[in-house]
Amino acid sequence: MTQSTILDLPQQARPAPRSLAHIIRSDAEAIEVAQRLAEDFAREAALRDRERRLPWDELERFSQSGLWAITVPKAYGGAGVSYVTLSEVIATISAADSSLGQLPQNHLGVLSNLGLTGSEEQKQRYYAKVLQGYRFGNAFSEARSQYVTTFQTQIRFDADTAVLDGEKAYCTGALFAHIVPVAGVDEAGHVHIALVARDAAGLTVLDTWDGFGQRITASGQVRIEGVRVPASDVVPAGKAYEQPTADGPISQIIQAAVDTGIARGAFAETLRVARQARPWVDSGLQHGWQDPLGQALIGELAWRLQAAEAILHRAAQAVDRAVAEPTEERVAEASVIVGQAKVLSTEISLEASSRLLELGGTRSVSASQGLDRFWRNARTHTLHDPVRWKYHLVGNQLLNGVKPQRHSWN
Amino acid sequence: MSNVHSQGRSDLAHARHVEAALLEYLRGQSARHEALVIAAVGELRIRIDAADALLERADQSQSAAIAFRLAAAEAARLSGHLYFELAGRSLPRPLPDSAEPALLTQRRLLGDHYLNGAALADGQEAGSNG
Repeated sequence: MTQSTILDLPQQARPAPRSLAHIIRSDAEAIEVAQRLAEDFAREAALRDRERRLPWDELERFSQSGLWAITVPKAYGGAGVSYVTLSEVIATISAADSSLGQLPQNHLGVLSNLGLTGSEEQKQRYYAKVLQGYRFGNAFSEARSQYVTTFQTQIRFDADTAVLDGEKAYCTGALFAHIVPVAGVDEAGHVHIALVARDAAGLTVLDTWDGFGQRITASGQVRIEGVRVPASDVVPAGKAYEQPTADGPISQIIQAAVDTGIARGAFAETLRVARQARPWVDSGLQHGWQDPLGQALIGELAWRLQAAEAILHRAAQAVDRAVAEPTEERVAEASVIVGQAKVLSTEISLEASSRLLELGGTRSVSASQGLDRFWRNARTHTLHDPVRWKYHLVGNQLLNGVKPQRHSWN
Repeated sequence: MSNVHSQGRSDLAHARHVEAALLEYLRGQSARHEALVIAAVGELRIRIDAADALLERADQSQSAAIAFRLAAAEAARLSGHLYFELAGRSLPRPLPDSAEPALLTQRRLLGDHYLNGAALADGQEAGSNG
């Protein structure tokens, strides 16, 4: 990414929504709105990906629809939907355009953390903003730390002001956000999240994301140079992991829902292209759709997708139980089943998006169709955290009785 | 309960039996703390739980029943493979109670259903038609 691109920040960036968002009142309404938006988002998904056209207008419709506020608790004026519903909403949007499905991921994670660690005043203030249509981005991952859980960004409290300095990477949503949550550590090593206005002095969002998948998430860098916020805009986020809470499973199930959505979208496109494919010359068949070998491959994808969907549903139910009763047992159970959902959604998203091209034949790789985006998106998004350690997480609990560590990636 | 359904239950029960035997064996071994062994045990549990989750839906439609059948077969297959890999021997898999369409035929029928809208009969009938 060139320096001129970095300096050419989008005009659309602003610290507050232009109008009040619709407020969704129920789980059923959330599902209905997601299905309607998904139809809208699917229409130009391939074009947006090909041109890397940043989805400012689509995100505006997304957050204005009220879907970014559906986890705001009922006591604060939201729908307080279940995680079964939230998972379905994210999968539905992701089937249409997985970049759009991923963009609220950290926003929803911040809402969960706010509920667990924010003061009553902070909950009232920020839940109200989210109901109005505010979008959170994220500036969490450190650009240079050894482990993903190690924060290097410094937060220094000076009377009633907090001062932040650091450099972040993979900041999905920050470019489009009204408020950029920045994670940092204080002198005692405690982790906090500062809720920084998008136009705050010293906060620079860099559109440096050049991943070959999830291209329009703009998951670039954020520089934080002497950013000052009122201490009342800082939540003690790390406290969510000092005792059992559902914060980690919530973060992870959204990831699994995105990947399940990619698999859904890829499978639907597989059926479309396979119906149009010509028969292979040695088959003796009149039509490609009669091909028994192709049918068997599709049957394999079908049951694996059903399995991923069924486990995602179970995982969401486990998250709901852990939210309602955050005991060590419930939270560990949620982490393990969500880990299973991560495994199955990763596998089927990669498999379906690869078979899509195989069953569509050479014509399906025409760049004009953009069908490669499903595999690129699956491969990119499933790298969020290494799924090989989810098999280990599940096995270690079963074999050795070791509960998953508590952090945002479990 | 369809024949497909019945065979799936048998395979799932077998996978669970082998998993229990494997866990009992491993708990007496230092290998229980090796990352590869732990991950392999995790994978088997994931296949078993996937089949179990599909069993809950297996009565909803014939396609759901076949999905469960194929998932249960995979769990059973992996359990046998893993027991051989880690314990160095095999546990016998029970013979099916009655004939059913070959698993690869069921896989094709499921694909034909999704691709072409082909109707799915009960497993036995579908096999004879396929």
